[in-house]
Amino acid sequence: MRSSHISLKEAQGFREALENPMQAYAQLQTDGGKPVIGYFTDLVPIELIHAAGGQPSRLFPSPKSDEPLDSLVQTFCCSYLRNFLSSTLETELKKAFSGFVFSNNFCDSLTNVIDIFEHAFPDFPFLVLNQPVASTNANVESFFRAEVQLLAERLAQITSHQPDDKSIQESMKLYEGIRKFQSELEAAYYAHHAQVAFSDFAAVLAGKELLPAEKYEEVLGRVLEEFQGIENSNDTNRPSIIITGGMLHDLKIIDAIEESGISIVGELLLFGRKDYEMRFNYSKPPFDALVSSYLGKVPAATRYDLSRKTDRLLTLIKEKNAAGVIHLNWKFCDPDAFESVMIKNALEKEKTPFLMIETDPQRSNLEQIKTRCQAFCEILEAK
Amino acid sequence: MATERAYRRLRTDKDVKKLMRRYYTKSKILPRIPFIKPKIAWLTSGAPVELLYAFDVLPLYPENYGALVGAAKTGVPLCEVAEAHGWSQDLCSYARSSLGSMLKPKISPMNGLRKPDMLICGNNICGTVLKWYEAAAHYYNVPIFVFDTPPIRGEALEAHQKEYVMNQVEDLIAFLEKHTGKKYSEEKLIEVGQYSNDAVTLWKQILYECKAKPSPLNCADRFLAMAPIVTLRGTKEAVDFYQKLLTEVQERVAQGVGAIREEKVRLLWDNIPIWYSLYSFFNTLAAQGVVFPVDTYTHAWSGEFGDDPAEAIATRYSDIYLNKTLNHKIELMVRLIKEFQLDGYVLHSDRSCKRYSLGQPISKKIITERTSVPGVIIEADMVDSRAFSEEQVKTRIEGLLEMMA
Repeated sequence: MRSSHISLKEAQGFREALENPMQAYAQLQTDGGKPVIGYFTDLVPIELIHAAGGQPSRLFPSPKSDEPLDSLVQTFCCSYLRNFLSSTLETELKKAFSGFVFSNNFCDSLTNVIDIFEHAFPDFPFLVLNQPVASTNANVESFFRAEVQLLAERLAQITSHQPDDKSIQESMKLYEGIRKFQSELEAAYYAHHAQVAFSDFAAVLAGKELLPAEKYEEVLGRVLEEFQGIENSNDTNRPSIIITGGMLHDLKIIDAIEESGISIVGELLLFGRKDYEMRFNYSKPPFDALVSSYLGKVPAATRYDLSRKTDRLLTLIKEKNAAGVIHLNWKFCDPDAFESVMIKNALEKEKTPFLMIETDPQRSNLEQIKTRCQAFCEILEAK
Repeated sequence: MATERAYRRLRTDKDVKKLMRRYYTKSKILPRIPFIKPKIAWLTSGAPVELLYAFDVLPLYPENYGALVGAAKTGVPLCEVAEAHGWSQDLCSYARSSLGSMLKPKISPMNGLRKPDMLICGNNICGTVLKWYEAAAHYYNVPIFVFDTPPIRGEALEAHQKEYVMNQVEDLIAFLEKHTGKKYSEEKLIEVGQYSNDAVTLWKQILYECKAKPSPLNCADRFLAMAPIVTLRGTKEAVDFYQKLLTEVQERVAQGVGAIREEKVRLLWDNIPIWYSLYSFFNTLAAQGVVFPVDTYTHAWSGEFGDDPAEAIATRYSDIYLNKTLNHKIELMVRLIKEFQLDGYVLHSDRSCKRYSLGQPISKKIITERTSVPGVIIEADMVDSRAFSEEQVKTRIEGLLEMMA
């Protein structure tokens, strides 16, 4: 964030928590009153975890984690997942989590890391949700529905509570309420992007994973009130961009982008707009509604169907009047590395400048990122 | 006096080279002949090629071509072309060299692969192919079919997973009907399926003949001989070739003739070969009496075509080594080490292939615990020689051999 930014009060706690997420999960497990279930990825229906009596918490990387992994996995494994293994080895895992839900068929690193985790923690409970990679059709929906139903049945192994239609629908409404709130928050942020740091907005979004849903709703209410007290003056000359890729929570990277003089006016990251834009069709049975909404999300890089992403990105660029795009990628994340080139090619046709930033959870190239962002800012200013 | 070679060449080496030359030549010439002009499909090594042959589609394999690029030592310049266009050096070198070859066919062996009319991408071997083929589909502006086979965590697919894959077989048939303008013939698929079964059966027999001491084949022999099982599975040519190879292998076994002159140490190889160093690697070790009677890479094909082709395709193309868990991989290697009476093993940690490689440190620990034989992990890449340090690999292998001395 820049010195001229107004700091959002509620964001500060989340910023600190994201620097040491394992501690935040442990606190949630102790204070939240529900078994914390960590999850990867964007297709895990968190409503099911909640309906089964659990607290769904997305697994953030731990920037300070450095446990050696030589006996488990090679260095060219996705840096995010290496960091996950490293941080779980450093933590008293049962204090922080009651179990995990891993997506399978997501990417090669994750498919292998599930097996590696099983060897490293043979007694720790985890569930696997197979996800489809192909474009959505009736067969894909039917397969994923069966997977989601199996997950619902198996969640009881961790939470001792089997979710039913009623509890699932209640959880869907609760999280949809949160998503609507987050959409309002995004509108408020966009109206004030000259005064408020995107990293603060991102910290508040990430807070969903670190608080019980009911408490998080209250926080969102307070943040929206805070925005109402900020004068709206977006008369900035700073070049504005959209960020895409896999990261939302790495606030130091986002800070580095903003400090270079660039203004972030929107995102199309794995967990952000793609999630909070999702709505449910309550006229359908709960499992059908969950499946069609989750599969209807703008797909992650690990799924086939880039055009759905580029179409949404190009619309977003117009909506937000953005001058360029920065793509954020974890080191050794193959799907995003592939997709960054395909997005760059799509943007070149529109003459939209593009920058790809690759880093790891330890941000070992932060200084280099700052320099590249400054150079990119100059390119955008010269346009 | 000329020094005697440490290894023995197969008579059928010439046949496989001729067969593959004809296969690639056909792919260049036939599309130019108006009355024949077959549709060309690019497909992954784990895609159900039998269906394509049943539709008279000419299948081409970018992975097989990648092996050829690697063996021809043109991997690095082609990878560099891809990297200059933004593709990360961390990505799979089959994918990078393929993308490089698409961008600059003139510097590629045989001026690159013939442009495809369609792409068939099966993710049973890895997730990388999904994005690689998506990039190729964008580049050539051709249709793509994604054949999604969920990884198997137990012994087999669960019922709903099998149904999902079987339904995709139906979708693939519809896709092929649409893009070839031909009607599906189950009779023809069964005929192709029979050729496929025959070739797979012969290939498995050949692989298991290597239990013999001395082993009739070394790794390099099998890596060369596997090309038709990948590219021509479902054709009579493949069956004829493997029949001939089996005869030669059985002759060697009957006469006690090994793949190398003096077999002292028997090792297992895990992973894709280091294509640009294929002969120098295995033949240098052959000179020290080291033979590799078995590997995990050429053991990839199994399963039978039964009465229900959709069911057979779903089962055969899901039950693949790389589509199963680390435990399954360990089980297979332990079994092969015991069955083939091996003295040790080499795990190639291939930077390009995460699905194959990640977790090998765990495999190594467990395999040694369960077999009491030592092993080593060597780091390299299948096509990109910039990730290969010959001296470092040599030192590691020497360390392994010392442990066994």
